[in-house]
Amino acid sequence: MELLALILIPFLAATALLAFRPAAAAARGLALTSTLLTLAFALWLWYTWTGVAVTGISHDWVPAWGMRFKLGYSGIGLLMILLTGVLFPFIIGTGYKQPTGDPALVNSMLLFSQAALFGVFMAQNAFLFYIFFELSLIPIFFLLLFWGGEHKRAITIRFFLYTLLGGLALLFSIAYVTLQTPLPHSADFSALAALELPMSTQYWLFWTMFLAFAIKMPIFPFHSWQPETYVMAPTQGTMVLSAVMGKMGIYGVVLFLFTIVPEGALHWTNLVLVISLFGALYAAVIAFRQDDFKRLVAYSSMSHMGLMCAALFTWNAYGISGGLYQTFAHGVLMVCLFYIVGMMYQRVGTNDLSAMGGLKTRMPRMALLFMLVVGNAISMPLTQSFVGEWLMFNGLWQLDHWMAVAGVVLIVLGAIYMLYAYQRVLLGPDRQLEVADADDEEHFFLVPLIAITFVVGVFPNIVLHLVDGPVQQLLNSFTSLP
Amino acid sequence: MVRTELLAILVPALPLLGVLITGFGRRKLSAYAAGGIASAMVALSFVLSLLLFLGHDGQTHIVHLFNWITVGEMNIPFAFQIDSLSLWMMLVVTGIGSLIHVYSIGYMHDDPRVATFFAQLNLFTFAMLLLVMGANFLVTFIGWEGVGLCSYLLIGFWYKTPEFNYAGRKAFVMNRIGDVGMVLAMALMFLQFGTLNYVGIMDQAGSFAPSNPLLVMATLLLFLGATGKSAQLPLLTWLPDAMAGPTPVSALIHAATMVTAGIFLVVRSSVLFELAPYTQDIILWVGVATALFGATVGLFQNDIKKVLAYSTVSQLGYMFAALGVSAYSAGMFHVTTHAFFKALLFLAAGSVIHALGGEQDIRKMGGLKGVTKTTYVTFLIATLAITGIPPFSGFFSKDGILASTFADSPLAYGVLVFAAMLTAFYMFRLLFLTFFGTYRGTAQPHESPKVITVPLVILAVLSAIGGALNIPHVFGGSEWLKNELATAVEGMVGEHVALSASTEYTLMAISTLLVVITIWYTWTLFGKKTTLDGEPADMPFLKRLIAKRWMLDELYAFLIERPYGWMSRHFFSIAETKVVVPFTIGTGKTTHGFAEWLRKVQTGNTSFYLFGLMLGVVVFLLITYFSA
Repeated sequence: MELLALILIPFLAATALLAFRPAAAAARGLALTSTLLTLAFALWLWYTWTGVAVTGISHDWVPAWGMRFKLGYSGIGLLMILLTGVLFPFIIGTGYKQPTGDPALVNSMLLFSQAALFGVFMAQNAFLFYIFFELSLIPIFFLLLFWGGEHKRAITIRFFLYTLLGGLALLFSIAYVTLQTPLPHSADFSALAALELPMSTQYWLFWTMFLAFAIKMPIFPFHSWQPETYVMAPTQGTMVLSAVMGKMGIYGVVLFLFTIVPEGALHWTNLVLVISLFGALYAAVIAFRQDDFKRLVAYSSMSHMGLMCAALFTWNAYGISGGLYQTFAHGVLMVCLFYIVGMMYQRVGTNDLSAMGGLKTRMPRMALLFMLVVGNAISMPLTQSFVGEWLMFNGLWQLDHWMAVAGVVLIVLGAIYMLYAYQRVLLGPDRQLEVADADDEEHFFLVPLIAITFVVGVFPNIVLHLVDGPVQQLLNSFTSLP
Repeated sequence: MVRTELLAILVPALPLLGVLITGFGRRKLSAYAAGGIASAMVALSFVLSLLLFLGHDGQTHIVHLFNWITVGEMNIPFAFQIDSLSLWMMLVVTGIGSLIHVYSIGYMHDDPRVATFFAQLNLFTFAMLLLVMGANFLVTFIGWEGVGLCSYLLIGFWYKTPEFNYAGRKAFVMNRIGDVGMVLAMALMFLQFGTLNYVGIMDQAGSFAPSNPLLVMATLLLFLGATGKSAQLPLLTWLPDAMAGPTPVSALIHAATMVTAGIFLVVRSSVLFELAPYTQDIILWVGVATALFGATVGLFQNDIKKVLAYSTVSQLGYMFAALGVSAYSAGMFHVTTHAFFKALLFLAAGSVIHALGGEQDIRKMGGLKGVTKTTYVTFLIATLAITGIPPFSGFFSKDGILASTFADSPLAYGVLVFAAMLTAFYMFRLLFLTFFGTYRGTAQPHESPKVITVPLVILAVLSAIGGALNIPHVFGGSEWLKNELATAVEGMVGEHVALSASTEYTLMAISTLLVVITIWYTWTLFGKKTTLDGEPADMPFLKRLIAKRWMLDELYAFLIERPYGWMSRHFFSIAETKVVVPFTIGTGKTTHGFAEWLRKVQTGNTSFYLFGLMLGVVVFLLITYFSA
């Protein structure tokens, strides 16, 4: 029942917001309450996790196509549910200080998206997954189209086309593999995982599936929609895209590729590793001399996603667990960073870093908060990012030493661009800009996120224990591979 | 045992508590309150370390706090290792640390962000303690990165000056380059040994044959990490720039403690290095080269702190040279005495700078010995110690290193003795130009207050008599520190100086004599200077090169920094904007036309538009299918 509640609470709240269009305060209050409620449910699921995958609901839907309305979660799904549950109150909360537009409409869109995201992470049937996967995007599409920045129409359409292209390839793949199941056809993941598709099929099927996820994350060279979309989108939209939706790509790789086409995935491992690591380095290099603060964070996000994707393809417990763990760390980090970008935009009126600088004297509180976030971004030990990166580097090392070198170099490049960005925003001689320091509301927005950063960095096992078991199972299923 | 555990937890916990108090109270606490609390925390930590040390039974105790990272076969505990090596480092860190905290109360009291300063200084102490106390490489790495961050923050403490911020970033990034080696070494060792605990790794390593390629690779990677943190060639240019930080920071972080972390790491993993003679050779020669590099550059620097910075680089080179010939206790001994006299030199330099209202150029000093008596006397003692005049502490520790290298490689010994002569030259040049002759500046010099001079005096006493910790057998000593450390440092059992007593006496006599001659020569040059000659316009090439610090900074700017900036800009403006994006979305013009067209379609016939998309997908899939 909790499972359905996770989808229904945001869905009903979103519908109510859309139907009654309450005033700003009420709209925000309702949206926040609903996300806090889903957070409570998510935490409850996490607290009661026993290590055994849960199936909540299973109803026939369109039996002829193998479609079932089947919800449940494994430890990996639960991690994603937790991520969505934890971050959405903050994403909604961003609207208090950095309003996007009509609060009723905006929050309604965000909540629709959240409902669909919970659906994605709980769907146990591939068609159901696909439907939620595409549904989650539609409200964000409107968010960008109505409240985006410059060139919003052209960029939004390009973004939409691009992701839709990936989505349709995925739909085709799902239909194809469902037809390979014995009669009566079933698109349940359990049925699809049991398939042993011929090698030649897996080779191409891998790409038709991976395309959707590679675009979603995104990794090089499927990222070309990402920087401009992140820059153009309103802060809340960017947060949903980078902090949560990108993780559907990571989740999809584990859920689809490693179970349905494992041999195809194994076959293309080196290619995927090379392009994702290259992309990670490429984005990190670009981020250094970016003048646009928001685009800099966008490229840093792409750099991190590239490393996570590479880590998944290491085929060992450290890489896969590390990559999955890092989705959580990265989500928290992105909400923090884009919130700070938004704060600066409100104060300086631009994302241009050359217009900032020397603000620390006027913003001492902001300087401290930002530094704590930077610590997480450059993965200082005892922040959550460090644990993920350490595991991912181990995974890479166990696969190939040179891949590990390419990965670890990121800690240097990350420090280069992040500390430079910090300097350009805050340090240097006072430029006499009249800006206000972070106020109490902004302070109490960032402090809990930073607290999560450190709690999960010191006690990473509270998150790692979710994925440890499922990853072991996954690895055991690989042992039969040639 | 319970008592050990409690104390071991409290030692790092107290500075952390200090961070929280001074950090959260930074707006409410007065300068003296913040400084007092921060100093008290570190001093208390020192007392507890001393209790631990005195009650230590020579065994290795593991204090397990909790399981930190558990995945698959990996279980990394958050645990401390208490043995004579970590205890000794804890004493040095908290002992020198508390003196420098007290000194900072006087030095920083006018700064508006003094509480923040103390919070960061306490945070540094906490991180440094984790570094030396960690029971596995990863806990050490927490401290390792933590001290790096504190170093970055404190170098850029006066954040309004862009050069200081640059220096901070430079320090952090160069350290990170070393950290790449450290992380890879840890990944390698985890794969090989299935653990990162020092005890577990060192136990297993014993079964490896010497020069096993894995061990050589692991030790080389670890040493790369050490070169970053301890400013050895080629990763040393950050340390002189780090002098941008407040002087107590230079003393604590960039002279006495953090920069010795690399030496600590090698000593901690001595078992591995003992099995990798190839790496040891590299360490020896990197150390020797760095000792010479730092000493030559020190000759022509005119900033009092820069001279001391290059001197630190050089002295760290001595320590690594010792490690390269397996003289671990000699290295640790020099870490200790160097912590005394180099901290003292920096603090005394700070006192001079304080006295002259911020002046750091030694050409504008002179004749200060009459005005700043305490500072002068303590600086003199430290100078005698660093140049290795008996019976000051540096004589014994440097002699240990020289004797060990002589037994292993007379050439290395010769270079180190030459570097010692250079050391005598630049240190006495510094001393004479600062305190002798006549005053050449304009500010009104005055002696610093007690809170500054008392730590100086304590450090001066330690610099003078610190040699007593490890008096060699030839002088009838018992080599106390060596025996103490031997319980923790494997491989030291085999450490010996295979020299006869007469050879040792001869070596000592030679190096001391050469140093004394150099001092006399320096005196004739600078001792009675009342005015300074300008730099001659046509300096010989070598001198010009040395004065420009061997052009190392320029080389790195030319080879790395500028190309990287160029790459960053052009990856974006060419690769990204002109190639990747148009290529994946459709060439520029088509994209635009397509978007225009789509805009029309979208408002008109949506199903047509979807149909077109589907068609495209089908074509794409067909192509993929047939090309598979």
